[in-house]
Amino acid sequence: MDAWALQREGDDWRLSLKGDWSLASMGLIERDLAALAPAPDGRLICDWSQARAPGLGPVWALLERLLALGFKPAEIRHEGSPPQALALLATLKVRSDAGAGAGAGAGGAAAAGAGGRAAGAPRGLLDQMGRWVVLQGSEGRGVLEFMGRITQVALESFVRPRSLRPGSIVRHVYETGVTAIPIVSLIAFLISVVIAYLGAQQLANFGATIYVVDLVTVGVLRELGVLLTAIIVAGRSGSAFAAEIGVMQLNEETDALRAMGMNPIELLVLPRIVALVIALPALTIIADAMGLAGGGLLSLVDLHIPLPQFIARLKAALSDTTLWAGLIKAPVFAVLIGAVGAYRGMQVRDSARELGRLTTIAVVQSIFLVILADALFAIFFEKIDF
Amino acid sequence: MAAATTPQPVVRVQGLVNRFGRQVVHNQLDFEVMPQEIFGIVGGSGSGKSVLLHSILGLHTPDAGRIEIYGQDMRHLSRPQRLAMVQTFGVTFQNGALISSLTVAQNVELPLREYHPDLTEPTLASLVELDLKLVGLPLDAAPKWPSQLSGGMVKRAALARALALEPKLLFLDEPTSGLDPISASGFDELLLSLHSELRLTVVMVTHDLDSLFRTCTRVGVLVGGKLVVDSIEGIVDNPDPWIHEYFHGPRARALIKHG
Repeated sequence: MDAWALQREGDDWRLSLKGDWSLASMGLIERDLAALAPAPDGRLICDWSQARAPGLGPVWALLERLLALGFKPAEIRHEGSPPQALALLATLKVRSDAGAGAGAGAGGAAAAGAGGRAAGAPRGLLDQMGRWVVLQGSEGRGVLEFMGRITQVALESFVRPRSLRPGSIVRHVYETGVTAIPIVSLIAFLISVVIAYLGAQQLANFGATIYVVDLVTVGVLRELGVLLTAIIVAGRSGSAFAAEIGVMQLNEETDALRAMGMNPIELLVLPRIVALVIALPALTIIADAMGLAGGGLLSLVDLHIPLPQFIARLKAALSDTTLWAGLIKAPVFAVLIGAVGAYRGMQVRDSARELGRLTTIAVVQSIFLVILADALFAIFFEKIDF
Repeated sequence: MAAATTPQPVVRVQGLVNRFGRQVVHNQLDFEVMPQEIFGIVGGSGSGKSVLLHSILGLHTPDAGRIEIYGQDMRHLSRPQRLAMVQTFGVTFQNGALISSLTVAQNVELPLREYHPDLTEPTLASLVELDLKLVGLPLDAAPKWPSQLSGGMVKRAALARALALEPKLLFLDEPTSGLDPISASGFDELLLSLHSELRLTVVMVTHDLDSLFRTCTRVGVLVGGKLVVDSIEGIVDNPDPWIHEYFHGPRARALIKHG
């Protein structure tokens, strides 16, 4: 189906526009128009009598094509019920082409917009590495500055305890701690059952299944209890911190606080970190207890170690430091999770996509940092024989 | 009035009831919008303007009543019919509601890509250019992110997106709120010129009295769960105390004196 038919009429061209000229046929019309190529001599008469429901887009495309072919607006005449908005479109078209090449620039700009933030030319490897290093440098400076500000506010709040916002801390202890008890308990219980089961299978080779109790006790108390709890809390609360603070950034709520002379770090960040420092050790104790319970249950059911014997063996396996070696890490992990979540939240600017990106980064980084810190603790404890 | 020439109303609301708990927001509300009208909806804060607009757009399911756009009830359409219906009107929201992770050009392209997947990139770029020019946005706004735009430009970009599918019916939610008087009157002029050039029907929720007097052909005032509809001249002399206060309060008096 052709959208047009062209005839010579004396010195003039007669362009009959046919068929559906609404936006729905835009694709077809655009293709047909590419074949339209009368020499720009004489006048052009556009006959609209056979065109159905001409829409803005197709008429715009026709004008564009005619101007591109070299017809001047004054040489184009419209006949037979031309579209209502023709005059408006013609003025818009002329205005854009008056500014030399502005139309082409717009097309290019829109196309660039469609491509998103695509980089212009492919950059050299060295160039990219340089950019990466500079970016990491400014990231690092940002983190240090943020930690510095948190420390400053925390120190100030020792002098002025009122600025600690107890109401806010209690709310966050509830949200990050109390509501996490069921999931933390369940996971600690199940993981220690799995550890005890696997351990029992291996130790049975040596006829030493009783040492399952040692394995569970030391494993859960020193490492697993606190590590699992920290990872769960990073997933639950690290993301929540980043998202909450990020949305406040998007709504200019943090700017409003600053404008009222309040410090967002004091109001939003510190209460969350303090709450985590309270909640995470408490959750760790619960996880430890549930882990031991899981080990005890498996020992009883699978290994037929009665509970009194389990407890006696447990006491023998415990040294003075076993519990503390796990528990002492909890506040450190709490600060890491809270600070990373809040920092990423404060970085949110402008768009919903940023919010999602930074929330993801907050969770991934806080889990990574927790595991890194755990490894450093393990080496440190080994060196000082803790 | 336009009603004489074309009897078929564009929007018809009959017996609309909306309740939230025990609070009745709309109580058997009726009105019609005729083709090529600019219909203004005003009302106090919390009188249910947004709920009314959302009910018409199908974003809120009313407790009772019938809402027709071009004679069809949105709630009783099949999915393809509904999608065809959605393309016949454009909507702008109060804060623009541009997608923040897309550029202005991508925002305008969004409905075009969705409903006309056969369009090529140059065609899309050309249509974006057309829509931006229609609403008077400079072309260098196309690659910008919504967060980089001023309030007035956001409203215009939202209008460009609403116009992208070339609808004959526009719903505008407070199109001039938050704009300076010059930008607001610029928007009024834009609306009037688009209205006459493109033969649009416009339903507009507004609090801007200047804009109301300048653009609207008829006005509906939400009072007591009903919509009191009249021409501008008629509504100003309405005896209802709230309507009287609305159009004769200290902020309105100066306008009526001059107008």
